[in-house]
Amino acid sequence: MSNIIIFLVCSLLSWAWLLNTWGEAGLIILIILTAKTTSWRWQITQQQFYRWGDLSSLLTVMLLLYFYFIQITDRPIFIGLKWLPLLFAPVLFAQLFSTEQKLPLGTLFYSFRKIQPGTAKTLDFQLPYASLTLLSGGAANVQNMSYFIVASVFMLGVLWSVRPKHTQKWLWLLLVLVMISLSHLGQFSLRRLQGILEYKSIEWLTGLNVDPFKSQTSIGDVGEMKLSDKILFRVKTGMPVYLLQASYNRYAGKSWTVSDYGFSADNPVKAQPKQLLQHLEILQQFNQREEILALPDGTVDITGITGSDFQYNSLGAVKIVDTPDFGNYTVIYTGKRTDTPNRHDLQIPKQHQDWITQLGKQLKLSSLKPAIAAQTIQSYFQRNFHYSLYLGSEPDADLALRNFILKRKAGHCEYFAAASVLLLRQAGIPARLANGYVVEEFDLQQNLYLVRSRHAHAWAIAYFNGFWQIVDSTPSQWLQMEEEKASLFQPITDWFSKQLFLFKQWRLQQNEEQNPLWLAAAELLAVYVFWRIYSARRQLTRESKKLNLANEAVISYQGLDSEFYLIAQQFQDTEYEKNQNESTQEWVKRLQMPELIALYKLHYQLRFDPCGLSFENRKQLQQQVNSWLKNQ
Amino acid sequence: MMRRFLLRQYRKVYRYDNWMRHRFTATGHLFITVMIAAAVLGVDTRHSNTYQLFAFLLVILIFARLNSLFNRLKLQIKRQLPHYGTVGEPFNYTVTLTNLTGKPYSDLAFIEQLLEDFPDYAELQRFFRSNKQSLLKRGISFNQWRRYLAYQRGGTIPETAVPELGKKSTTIAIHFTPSRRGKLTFAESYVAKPDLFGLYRRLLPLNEPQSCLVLPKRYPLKPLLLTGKRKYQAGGVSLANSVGNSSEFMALRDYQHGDPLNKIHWKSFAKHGKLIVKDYQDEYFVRRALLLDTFTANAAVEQFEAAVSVAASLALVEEQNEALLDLMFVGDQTYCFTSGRGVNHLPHLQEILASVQGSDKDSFLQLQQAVLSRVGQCSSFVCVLMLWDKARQQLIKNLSAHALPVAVFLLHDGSLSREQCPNQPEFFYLLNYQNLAAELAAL
Repeated sequence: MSNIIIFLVCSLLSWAWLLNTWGEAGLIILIILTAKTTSWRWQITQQQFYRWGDLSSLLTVMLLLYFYFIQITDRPIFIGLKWLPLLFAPVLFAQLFSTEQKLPLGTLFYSFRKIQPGTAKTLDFQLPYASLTLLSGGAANVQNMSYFIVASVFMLGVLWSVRPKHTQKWLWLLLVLVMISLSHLGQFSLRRLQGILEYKSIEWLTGLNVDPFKSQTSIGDVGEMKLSDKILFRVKTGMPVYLLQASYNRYAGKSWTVSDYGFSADNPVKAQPKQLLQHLEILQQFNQREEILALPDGTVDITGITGSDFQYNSLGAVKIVDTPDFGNYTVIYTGKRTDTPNRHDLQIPKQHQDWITQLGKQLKLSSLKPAIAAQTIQSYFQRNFHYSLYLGSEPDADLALRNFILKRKAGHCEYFAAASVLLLRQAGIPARLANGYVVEEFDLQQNLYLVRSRHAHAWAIAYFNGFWQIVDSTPSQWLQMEEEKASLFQPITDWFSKQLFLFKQWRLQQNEEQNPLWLAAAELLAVYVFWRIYSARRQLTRESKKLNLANEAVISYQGLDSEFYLIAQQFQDTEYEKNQNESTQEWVKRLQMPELIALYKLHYQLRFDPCGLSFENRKQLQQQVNSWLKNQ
Repeated sequence: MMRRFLLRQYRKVYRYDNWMRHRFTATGHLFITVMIAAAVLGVDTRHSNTYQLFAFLLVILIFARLNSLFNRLKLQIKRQLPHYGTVGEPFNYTVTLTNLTGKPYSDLAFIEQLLEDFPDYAELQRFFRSNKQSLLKRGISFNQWRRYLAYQRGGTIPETAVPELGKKSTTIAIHFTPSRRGKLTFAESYVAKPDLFGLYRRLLPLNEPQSCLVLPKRYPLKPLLLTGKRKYQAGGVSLANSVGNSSEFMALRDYQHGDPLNKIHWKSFAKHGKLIVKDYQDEYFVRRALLLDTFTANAAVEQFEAAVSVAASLALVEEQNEALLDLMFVGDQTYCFTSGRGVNHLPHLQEILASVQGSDKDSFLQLQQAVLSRVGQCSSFVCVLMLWDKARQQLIKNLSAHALPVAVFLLHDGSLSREQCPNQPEFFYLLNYQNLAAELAAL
């Protein structure tokens, strides 16, 4: 048994063992052994090889599309990896059963198909196929050393078979042992490296994303604020709502943090019996493995997403883990979050105590009922302050907030939210800073609300009358001002976003009921490809016949039909065969057959004399050649 | 700026490609491909195990690279090149390798490279005539760049496996097909020695620069039956190519008024005291002129090459005749080379044709003047042209007016028909350069 059969069979057996594909592997092995033990061979033309390659490509594309659109899988590439040996089996079979026993490179790479016929590069696909099968075994994702052992043994087998003969065996074995040890350590290090990289990248990305434990505000930033027009998600609801991502109860200057860092799988918000529940639907594309959702207050349940976990913290943040590519989920909510406040919700930072006390006295907050106090604060800001996208020129967050209250009386939503939280606390009302989105831009065409990046908002939430209530003191013109700053290209980006959204939505809506249709389409395609393979052969044969006829018609060198060539044919594959660089004269001399001398001279005259041979001489040549052939 | 940057990138990619091709064995390439695939599929170590294969292959390749740093093999090379090759025909030569160490080595390969000059943008534009294309098509793609390089190199010598190299010298036969005429320079040769695992190869350079000449492709042609009178050739056969009044000496005679001074035999003057001049034997024989039009303004490179091939084939046919042949063309100046019996060897003419270059400058007028100045000496004219414009038609008319037989071989790209060519001489052959062999055979 040759090395290559051993490699092929071993790789297929390891594939079957790792991925439990015994049936498929058995079938491929059977066909390979049939090809190796029988002499059935077909004359496969270059074009037909290409068709076999096309069949493999088509199968790969169909498989990926199937798992992308129908049997929706998060990572269809790994399904493709699993079935690689099956997908490339047609190409291997084409080589094994061909008379050429080699594969034109154009079968696998389209760029090689432009090469002129006859100059095509070829490849023995057997070892690459065995390697492909080995690679495919990696899709098993076994959490032990089985794959490493299988891969190492296979690769060492290949290395042993190709080692130069002058190699010293003891040195080879020694180095192999060192290599195995190092690569064993290396693969562990790779796993650890991925963990470190993930941790670092998350750390870096949290600066851009929502951190449920810390809100990095723009208070104290300088310059002008500009948020993007990118559509983040779409909401189907009956009215505009505030969607909360996270709330924070500890003021730390530029940042707001939380007092409770824990996340748990239990939703702290429970629906009371007979409590009126509301619904809204969110359609969102997820970009990271874990994301914080923007949800209405008092979210009781989230339905419509499978395969993902939800985690909740006590301050209202909900985290989704193992996100799908696209989600269309329904949120069931009460609209009221009732978790009890803690001591952090009433803390006022010392550095702001002076103006808070002064303003509290001015607004007579201490004497007012909580609901009225909240309204007073809201109307105070809305009357005396205005919204500005200009971030100011004060880099210190505490001073920037003080300036906002006492001097500038203008700022963006985070200033209003932070100041409102502190004033509410001065009035004895537990308050927190909340981050999220305001859902207000209704799209008539799609009949849903669009939530853009610039709709991100901050507001205060205050606990009175038994639940947390929104106190948004930002002047209402903020949305209009943000909209005026929208990019000129917004309609174009919106159009693309809509198309992508519609595609994602359609893909999500596909289900297995439509499989028969897809399968029928796939079968039709497969039949078409087979038909192309066989029709191409017929067409090629016809074309080559035509070409030969045409060549014969055009090129007719004198004397090519000389009978002397029959004598040359007699010596083919013998030691007396005429060499390519040998003239006929030299060859006849080498043969030492005097009877051929007169014949080759006639042949020369026929070939090279512009006047050619006379009719009699030609006849003489024919007769003498025939008699010579008979005597042999 | 952008173009230069692009060409620099092409060079880098090409060098990298060469490096990969020469440095790694077939198994090495397979290992690299599998390693890259394993890395891509194993980026997320939680979803597949292929990262384990990646780690293993990476370590193997690093070891292979390190192992190639150690080498004891020393070699000597001797190349036996023929003087000439022909475009499109196999070029065979041998190389003798001598192992200077005592140890036998196996799995070696011999890599030979022809000299490559990386082109600049103007050269490429000239070659592909892209400056005459629309703006969108003027760019030179990487494939075009490579095609030019392959053309300029003149052929690709395949890598040759060296049989086990023992203490004795080993001779290997190398075959390749030259793709252009002219000088081929064998620049660098290497012996590739694989590492311990047979993946990475160390290249041992063997510098033995040599060159040879590749003659243009020649086709079998029937002799041209141009009826031309024999013409008087001053100076006889041996000096028919000389300039001035030098002659083949026959006898001495008295000076007659009007004899040129350089014909006076001064020794006889000293002896006899009167002017005596040398007399010559009059020579009459057929002398043909072969005109090659080198103006390639709109012609493809292949068209010009076809014209040179036709000229070479015609020169070869003339070898069989008892005639002189003047090859005339215009390069930087007007060239005229004569060959024939006793004057020069015809292979010399083939060598000249192997080196003739096309010109963007229409110097046909210059060629016309040179031709007309030789009308008196030549019996017939054979013109190989690539254009049939008024100037060329006029020249043929002028020649015909001198009652000289003229044959015209007009190379075209398939867009011309005989009806489109006015003022055709008696022997007018319209040849499609894309189907030259068949068309010449059919003449």
